Amino acid sequence: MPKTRIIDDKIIINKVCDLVIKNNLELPKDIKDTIQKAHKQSSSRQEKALLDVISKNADIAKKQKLALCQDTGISCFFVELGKNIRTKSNIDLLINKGVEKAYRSKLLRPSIIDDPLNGKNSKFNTPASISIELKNSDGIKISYLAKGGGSENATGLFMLDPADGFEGIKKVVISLIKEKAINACPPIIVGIAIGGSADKALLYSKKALLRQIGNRHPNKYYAKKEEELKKDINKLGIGVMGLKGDVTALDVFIEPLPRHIATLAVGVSILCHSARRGSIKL
Amino acid sequence: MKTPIKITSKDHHKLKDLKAGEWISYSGTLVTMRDSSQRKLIDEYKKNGKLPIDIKDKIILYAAPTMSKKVVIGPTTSKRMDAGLELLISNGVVATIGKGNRSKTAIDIIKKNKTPYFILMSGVSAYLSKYFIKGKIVAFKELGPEAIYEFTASGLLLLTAIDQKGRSIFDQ
Repeated sequence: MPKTRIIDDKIIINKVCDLVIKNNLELPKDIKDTIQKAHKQSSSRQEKALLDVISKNADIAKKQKLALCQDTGISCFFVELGKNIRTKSNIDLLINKGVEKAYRSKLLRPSIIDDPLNGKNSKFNTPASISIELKNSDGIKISYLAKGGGSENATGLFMLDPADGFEGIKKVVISLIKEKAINACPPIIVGIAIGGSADKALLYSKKALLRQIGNRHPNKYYAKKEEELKKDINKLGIGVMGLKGDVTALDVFIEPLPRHIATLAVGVSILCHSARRGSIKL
Repeated sequence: MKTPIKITSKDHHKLKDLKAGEWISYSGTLVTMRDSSQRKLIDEYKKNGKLPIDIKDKIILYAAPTMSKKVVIGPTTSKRMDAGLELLISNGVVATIGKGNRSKTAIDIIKKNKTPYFILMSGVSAYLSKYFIKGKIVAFKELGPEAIYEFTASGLLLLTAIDQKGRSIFDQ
């Protein structure tokens, strides 16, 4: 058992603030590389031009310190909290303070309304959406995902019959993408959680979006299915911005979860091409 | 891609000649609108019988900016704003800009009034910042980023997505 370690509140607030700002101004390297690779592979001149704009956007955002996308999203956090870590204030409070600090920079657009039907803009994009997992491991890992409204609106939850199997899953995923990917700013990344309770299926489908492009599931069966689905989605020809083309999905990530004997939940989360995510370890 | 057709605020009559699939380069005023601002606009119209701002001969951009040192802006999903299209157009709006396809009802309104719908590249607001010169809030300041802004665009590339005959690039 590692020795208990107390992390100063200010350290977490500042690290979270930096994580949020950096990810909204700098497109992750794996995404940038994948966009350039897709540019080479696309057979459409118009699509190539649009992919080129995505690459240029990343360069300008980094150089001029401008948001990659004006929709800096719901600030989503996935925390893996080791047993040995202690903080003076609760970790969710510290994360929210970090988000507020990031948005006080005025570099990012606050997009959270404090009450769903009668609310107003909360000004600093708080509260963040935070999920905390307790781990036996040493240290704390805080992962961040900027989830824009367009891609969040393309989320799907399907309660299938266990007998539907992978073919049934494929059917609902493809149909969701056909209907909704266009407004999720394609090329997209698709996170799919299979199994679990309905709430966990959605949570892990979103967490799957944190994976690096090309990082296949360690289970060979699911790794193969990720490749298969990616091919099928790209065959749809939706293309960049929905303007027809070869590049619809940059990758597909599957997370299998234990399930109830009577259920087969399928959660699907979609991330836009401005795939802003990153993590810190303390 | 062919050379885009240049259109400015002074020659909005050209909008009617565009065909779905044609790119334009637009210079002139754009008025922003989105979920909360459009909702409020509709509510005020119902209450007072008129709009708080003049949108005659204006082009609407479905968006909300980040007002950092530069204008950082990009389009939002137009479909969510379809319910307000009739009101905007009956008050003089000549075109709308956003992202994605529109509903059948919206396409019929576009066709009936010959007010084309354009799409703007989404998720690339840093790149687009050089095409927006300046902006100011013209209504609903209390809505924060969702306030109605007026921006001056210069050479902004737009794709004609639905033209005055109701032809859509999404059907082709």
